[in-house]
Amino acid sequence: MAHIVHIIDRLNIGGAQSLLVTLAQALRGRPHSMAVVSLHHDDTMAGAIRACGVPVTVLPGKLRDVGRIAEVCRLLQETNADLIHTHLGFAHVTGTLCGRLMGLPVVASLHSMQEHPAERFRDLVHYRLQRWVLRTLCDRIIAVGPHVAVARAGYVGRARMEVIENAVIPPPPLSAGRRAAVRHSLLGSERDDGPLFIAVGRLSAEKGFADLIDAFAIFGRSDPRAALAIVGGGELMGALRAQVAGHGLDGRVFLPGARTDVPELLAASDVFVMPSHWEGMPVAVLEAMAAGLPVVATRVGDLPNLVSDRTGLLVEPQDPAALAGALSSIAGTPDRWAPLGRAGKRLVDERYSPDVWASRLCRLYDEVLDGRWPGTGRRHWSAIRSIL
Amino acid sequence: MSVHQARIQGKTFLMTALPRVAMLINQFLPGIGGAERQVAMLGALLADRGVDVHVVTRWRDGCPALERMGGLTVHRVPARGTKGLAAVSFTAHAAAALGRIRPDIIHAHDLLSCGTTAMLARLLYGTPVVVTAHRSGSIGDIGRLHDKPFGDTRIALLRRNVDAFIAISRDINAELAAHGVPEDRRVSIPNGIDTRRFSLATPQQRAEARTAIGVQGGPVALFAGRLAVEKRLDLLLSVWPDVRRSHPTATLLIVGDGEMEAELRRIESPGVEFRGRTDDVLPYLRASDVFVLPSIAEGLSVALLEAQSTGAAVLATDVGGARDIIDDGVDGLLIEPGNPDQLRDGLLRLFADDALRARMRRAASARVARRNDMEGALEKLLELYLRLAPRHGRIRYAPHPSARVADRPGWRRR
Repeated sequence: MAHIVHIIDRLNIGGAQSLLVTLAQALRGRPHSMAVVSLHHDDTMAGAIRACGVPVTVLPGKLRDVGRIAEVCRLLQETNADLIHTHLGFAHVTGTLCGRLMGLPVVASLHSMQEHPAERFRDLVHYRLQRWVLRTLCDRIIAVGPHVAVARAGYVGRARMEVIENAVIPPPPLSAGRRAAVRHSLLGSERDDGPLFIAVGRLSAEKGFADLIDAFAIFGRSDPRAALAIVGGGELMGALRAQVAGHGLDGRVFLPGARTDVPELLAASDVFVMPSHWEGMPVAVLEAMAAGLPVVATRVGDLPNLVSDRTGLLVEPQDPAALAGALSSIAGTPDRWAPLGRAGKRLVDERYSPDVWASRLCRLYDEVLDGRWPGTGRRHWSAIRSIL
Repeated sequence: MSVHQARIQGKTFLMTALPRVAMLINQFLPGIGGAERQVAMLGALLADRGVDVHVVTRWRDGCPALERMGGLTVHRVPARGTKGLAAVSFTAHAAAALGRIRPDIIHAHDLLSCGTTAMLARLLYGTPVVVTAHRSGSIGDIGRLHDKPFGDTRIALLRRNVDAFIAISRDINAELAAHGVPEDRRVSIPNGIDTRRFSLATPQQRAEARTAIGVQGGPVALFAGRLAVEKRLDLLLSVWPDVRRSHPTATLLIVGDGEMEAELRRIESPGVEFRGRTDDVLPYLRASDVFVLPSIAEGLSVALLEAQSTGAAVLATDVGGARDIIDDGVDGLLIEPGNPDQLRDGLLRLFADDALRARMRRAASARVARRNDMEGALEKLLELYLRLAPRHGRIRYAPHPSARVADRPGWRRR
């Protein structure tokens, strides 16, 4: 019967945020209750979490503002938190420091394979600070996939790390009429008789969408009916639009921006593509497989655990020609989409079910709360806690 | 990066780094002795698995101070002076060497100077310490420690400062328990042998081996080991003429060297052949009908295990771990130590009864394969190291049974 407060950088559309929605649903009927605190004014996903009956507090302000620790501490005290679970970089720092001040155990989730490169001095300071809190102040670190864990093992040093693989709730099936409507809304008035490829993710360089557009340009010459939708917002929107126009692919490649109805868009598409240069255990791929789509993905991170020739195709990253080959080979065999998609759905239902995931998380919370693996440094902070 | 999958205390972990282990042992290869060979073999197998294994031992004339030997790094440190002084010198030099090696685990192979050195290193560097006692009884580690000055103090210190004691036999385990070592710090890891190499000899292999080592027909008894006082070969040679009277074609092969060699060779006896030291005992084991071990003190004899595995009927004194591996009359014969009548009767009984020997060799070989295989010992040892080593690079992970994580490139399954 513990109250777990999840602290997250921001509630924009992303993998970690979808996991919070999944957890909010999966925790129903379990003894633990949860609440979400966001450190940024962007609250796109807050509605979806609130819809599951989980309170969400948005604290607008600067992510780097350490002065807000007092504010977060007061909130934790008011809500009678028993354990803090932090997601993403700034929340690790703020959340862990709050936890130590309040004498609460802290669990941190590592969602990605690597940090963004520290280009500015303040990024470097943040990087070091984050590494220090993870190494010395966290009670437990969760890695979302085995390859994430291995890649981050050096980063977290001797901190206790456990792999708890991401999960996804399978979406309800889409009716034929709704499917046609969604496709129409995505493709506009264009002809809709060819395969629709879909890619989902933040529009940033490491997601490899530029490779995908190049590959689609190569492949599209042989199949003029095919269409591609890249769903997501981000700093590369302008550059990608220019690239599409440069290839003369307007009307065949669509960039609809960030959307909250991704499950429906997936269910209305034919093939999912993940061209990333690096990835952890992407929720987007789990969602696509849960929606029954075959997946073309790059051989990075934990993707080879998910995608094989039984569920789709794997290609090497940063190789548009290879990606074009994979797209055309899968587009040429539409009769294989259904079996590949079914195999993927079966795999996801079997290994990445929200039930198993939530049980593992709850067991980890219980272990930490029981103090079976007591944390570091809590004694030193109990004195400070009495001051607050 | 190479990632290993390991089970520690029933939980599955991914290991991104395996520990560095320093073995402390008084004497090391080249040289014969069950304990040294056991350490060399386990060390090589651990190195195979990706563990960085260092051996710290006493320097000997003609050996390099630093040497790579089949995956192991051997450091030979000086032990100057005589007796006590040499031990102090060894401790100081070995502790300094450990400071350079900086292992994650120190594994000492006796409770005397190696154990002391390990405790000193633990004090200096905070490294966890594992100690194996290879022998029991009055000449065993604890027995000898009792007779030393401050012996009981040293035992008490070991009890407090050693993180895990490895007992290779039940009687060593009992001895440790009697000296107050709690159960959670006693780990039972019996010696293991390479059961694939020492497999049950076929009649053809037996005939080939007999030709290779130049033994004519007639029953063959074998002793292989150091020619040390406690092996009581004098007793064996004293009863041999009686055996020879009943079996005039019988041969007794004695393989090994040691302090007693000259004295034993002086005892003239028909049908006894001293073969000296050998690097490969396998053809001797294959050629023999009976393996005899008349020692008055043993740990868990590796030679005995190898003989059982190869299919020689064993006749051994009931000392040390012999009782763990011999069920009297089923997979060998047990006799009282220092009793010449039982030794003679045992030899005669084994030579006379072909059916008994055949039954014993089958039973013994199967038992060794089941209980004393090297791989089993290695698994237990590695698990102990991983449990005690610092947690660096240890990731808890329970993959779904259908996940093929370990098959991925760079991932090794344990």
